[in-house]
Amino acid sequence: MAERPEDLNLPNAVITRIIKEALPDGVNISKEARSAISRAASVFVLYATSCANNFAVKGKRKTLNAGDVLSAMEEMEFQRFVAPLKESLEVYRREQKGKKEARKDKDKKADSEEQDKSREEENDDDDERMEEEEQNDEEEVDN
Amino acid sequence: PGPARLARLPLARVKALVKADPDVSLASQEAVFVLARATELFVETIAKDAYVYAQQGKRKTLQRKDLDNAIEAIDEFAFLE
Repeated sequence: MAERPEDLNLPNAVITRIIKEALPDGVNISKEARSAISRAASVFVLYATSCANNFAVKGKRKTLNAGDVLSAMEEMEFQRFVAPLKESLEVYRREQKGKKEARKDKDKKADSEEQDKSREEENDDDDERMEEEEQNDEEEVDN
Repeated sequence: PGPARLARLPLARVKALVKADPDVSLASQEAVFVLARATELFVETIAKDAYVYAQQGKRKTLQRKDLDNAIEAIDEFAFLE
């Protein structure tokens, strides 16, 4: 699947915000420096992905998982990232679990009530969320 | 490192980068999330490391050359050369 070059960039606004929060108040960043960091960040993702994929292959798995990314960080000498990443992952997992349970409760309620055409809008929302749920465990990467 | 937080970088963009690798067939949503968070930590790190050079130059604006200096000096950034 061909990606346009701009699709491989990370959003400038987010990158800038992260940089500003990392630096002391009153420090500015030139446009060129910001661009260079943004490009470096994209390269970081590509390199980390490749590294993580080696671990998946070693483990005879077709799906790159969170553990592979953590192993990649150690391999890339960013061990100090591992602890905060594990913490973030726990928060993320709790949130995903919470979302799933909220949806289950909503589905239970929907089943126990009678079908109603006026609730069509609500059903559309459910369909959207169901798509998300399908993608929850694995993101299929078409190659 | 700051408190555990969810990613600010949009996961869809990170996923697009993961997809760019022809050797990768499938990536779990968790893997994409951890990659996004790792990238944010990386941006924080490289910005701080580059800023040291701006300080040496008594500047309050981070410039491209500060990045270049940090990349050259720090082993972990060798992959960027």
